[in-house]
Formats: sequence, C-alpha cells, structure tokens
Amino acid sequence: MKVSGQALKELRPASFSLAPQSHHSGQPIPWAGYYPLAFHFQKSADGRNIPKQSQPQSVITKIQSLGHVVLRVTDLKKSEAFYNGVLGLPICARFDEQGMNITFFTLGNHHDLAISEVPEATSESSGGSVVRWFGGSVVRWFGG
Amino acid sequence: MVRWFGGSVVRWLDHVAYCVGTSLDELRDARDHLEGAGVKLDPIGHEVTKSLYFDDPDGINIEFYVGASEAWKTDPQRVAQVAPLAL
Repeated sequence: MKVSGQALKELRPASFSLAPQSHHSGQPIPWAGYYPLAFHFQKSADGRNIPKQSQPQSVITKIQSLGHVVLRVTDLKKSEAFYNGVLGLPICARFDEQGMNITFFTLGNHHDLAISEVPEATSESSGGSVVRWFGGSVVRWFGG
Repeated sequence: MVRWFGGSVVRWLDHVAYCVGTSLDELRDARDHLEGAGVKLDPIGHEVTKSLYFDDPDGINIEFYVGASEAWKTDPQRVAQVAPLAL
C-alpha cells in the first residue's frame, strides 16, 4: 500500500519531531536525519516518543573524516625512503627536536600520514624523555 | 602494560586521528560526549588543529581534532606545533 507523505504525517504522534535537538545547544542537529529515526527514539511509559537514552551522546559528535595515522618506525631514513621514494607519498614537513624525529606526508591535508622514529627498546620506563608533562597533560611533540 | 611513547600499546602505531569539525564548540561537544562516557582526555593545542587524545579499550591512542588554522597551506612546517589547550 502506498502511503502519501501527508498520510504519514498524520500517523505521527503530536510529540514526534523530525529534527532531534542537541542536548547541549538546544539547536537541531542537521545531520541527525541521515540515520533511521528508530535509532533516535523510544517510547516512554506514557507512549510518547523520547530520545533513546543510549543514543543522545552519539548524535552530538560526528566524525567527519579519517584525519591521519602516525606510525612508529625504527629507522626514519629507511622508512622515509620507502614511503616517499617507493610509495610516492609527498613529504610536507619534518620535525627533529626534543628527541623526537618525525616526518609528515600529505595527500592534500596538513598531514595524512606521519612516521615517528622510535628506538626498538622504547617502553614506558625508558621512553619518558619524549613525554612532556605540561599543565597536567601529556604533551606529544608532534603535529595534530 | 607497556606503552610506547606514553601512547598506544601497539609498538608500530602511535595514534589514529579523526576530524570532528572546524570549531572549538564541536571539540567541546566531543569532550562532553567522551567525558560523559567515562573516557579520560588529554587536550592538546596544535597550531593547525585543536585536539583531544584518548585511549580505546585496548589502549590504542586516538586523536579527535577540529581544524584551527590554514597556516599549514603556506608553511607546511607549522604542522609540528604543540601547546597546552584549555577548553
């Protein structure tokens, strides 16, 4: 049976909303409609459609894209020759300070891949020199 | 648990980064979301991005970032900046 848009609208409970709102700003979440509405709502005890308790947080932040990956390598020069020379990834920046030695590659973003040289034996106990405590946070000496 | 560089437990992987927007408000939403789920966060201010670092259940380090500057387009080396971040 084909149901017209108007008929569907009339089937919806009065409390039904097609535009779920952010629990923080109270503003509609424009992309929320990309997902089946069943993900967003559940029936309350008195039959109203209410946001699912397990879902609200997941609709606030939307991952837009995979940004980059940072790999650890044991020999930066050798890996640079492979990723740049063999695979052809363009190098966009290098960082060689504070005991960190990193090469950044770009495919159009500020970096899409980076390789960081890590000695074979680096571990929590021996790797402390490359972890800075800065304002209570671990500051990593490589780009975002 | 052995942690390499104080980050991921995987020796060859430092972290995987996801873009979650272009404004600090979007990063604050991500912070609220993650903290609400009990995830411990390290906020870091890079020049080209503002970022949250945290671990997945296996200790693999993840970065959520929002774009913060286009400076890298004229000076690619600016990608290697880091500073504390207060959200």
